[in-house]
Amino acid sequence: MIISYRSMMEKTGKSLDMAQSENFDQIFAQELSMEELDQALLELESFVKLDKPAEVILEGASFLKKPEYSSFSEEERENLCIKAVERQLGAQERQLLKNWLKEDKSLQTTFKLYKNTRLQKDFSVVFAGKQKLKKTSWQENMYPWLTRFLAAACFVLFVLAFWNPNEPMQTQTIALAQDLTTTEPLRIAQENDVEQTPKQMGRKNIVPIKKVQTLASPVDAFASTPAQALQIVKAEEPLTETLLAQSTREEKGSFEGLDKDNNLKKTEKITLDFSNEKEGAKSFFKLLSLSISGKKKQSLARHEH
Amino acid sequence: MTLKEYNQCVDLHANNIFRFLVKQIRDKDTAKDLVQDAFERLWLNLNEVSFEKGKSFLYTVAYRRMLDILRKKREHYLEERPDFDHPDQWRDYNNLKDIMDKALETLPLQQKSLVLLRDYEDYAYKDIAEITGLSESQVKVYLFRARKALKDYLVKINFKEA
Repeated sequence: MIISYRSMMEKTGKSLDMAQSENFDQIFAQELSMEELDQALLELESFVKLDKPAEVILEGASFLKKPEYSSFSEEERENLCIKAVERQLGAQERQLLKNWLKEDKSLQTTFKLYKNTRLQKDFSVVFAGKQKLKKTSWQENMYPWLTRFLAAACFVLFVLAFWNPNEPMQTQTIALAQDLTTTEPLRIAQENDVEQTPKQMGRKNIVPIKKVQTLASPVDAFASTPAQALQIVKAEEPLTETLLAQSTREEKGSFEGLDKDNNLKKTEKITLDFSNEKEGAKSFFKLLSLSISGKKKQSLARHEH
Repeated sequence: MTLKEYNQCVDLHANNIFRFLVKQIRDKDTAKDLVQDAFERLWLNLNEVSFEKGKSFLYTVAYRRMLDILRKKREHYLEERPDFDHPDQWRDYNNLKDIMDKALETLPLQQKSLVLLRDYEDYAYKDIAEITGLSESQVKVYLFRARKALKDYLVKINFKEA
């Protein structure tokens, strides 16, 4: 425009001051005739046409554009796939992933692999004992009682398991005496049994004894119950009678025992009180029980006094 | 929970818990014992556990008992795990289910349990956290790691979907 204007001004031989040069429209209107204006316009149009740059088009320029997903790292893209498999995608993320999958083939492959990581239930594995697991109303009602009973039984077993046989002899004797009325099975040990007792019981303080002299016959006998043991005692008529006939009404039996280390055999004494038949039987039963389970030497000594 | 609901729990969940356990310990007898244990515990706590919480209770008991057993058998268990660094051995497996079963074996026990709970039972992260004693975010992270490991495994064996 400026060039065209200058060329026109040269043609007309006119020059412009600063104020005029700032307002071309006014100059054109004032200084040029209609013909000149038309000519200037034609020149101007031809100038514009000539100087118009030729249209240059870069074929496939879109490849320079970066896809939307490229602004995300590979890890971020994979995380989106995992989120999809985990069904944790929001609506916006879902749309984003959809767009990415359209554009990115490698992401499609990755996404398929992730989809495969979702396990399918294996219906071939079936639990066979379902019916056994089911409960009936009877079980429901009985269960509290059953559990209580079992708890009590467990308690009794626990007490028996940890029952300390090193209790004082007197206590033991009373219990055995009371047991005479019961039918609880009882086995009187043989001599060999007595020898094995310390190993079986594994308790340091237990010193088994066995009768070796005075009452050889009854101790070697066997009884299945305390009552039977009492009968055995009674059956030994000569012995019982002899004992009862004695004025002291006492008999000292001689027993062989082991010390605490199970090494040394030692003779111990025990008093049999046959002041009456029942008491005699009790005392004798003590002896039997001693030969069964074995007692502490100290307990034995205490009883002797 | 009532007796009827308890029996309903047996119907609904016994198979699923059994499947969940078998997939992890690969020993049906032990899995069976664990299922029985879990239901016995539920029976003992019948009054304390609601029907809605029954499933979660059963899975929690079974999962924790299973961990105890696996800890005891740990060495044995690890020895039995096949060598997954050699994908050649999977050429025979052209079935996705088989492959995924094997791929599952490559995961650490915890991740394996999470994937199974998630996929088999469709549990939410929160429920899985409750069963496994993990936090919700831990569950999420471990599951993401597990998925990645499973996918890497599929890449490793050059798995192509039929």
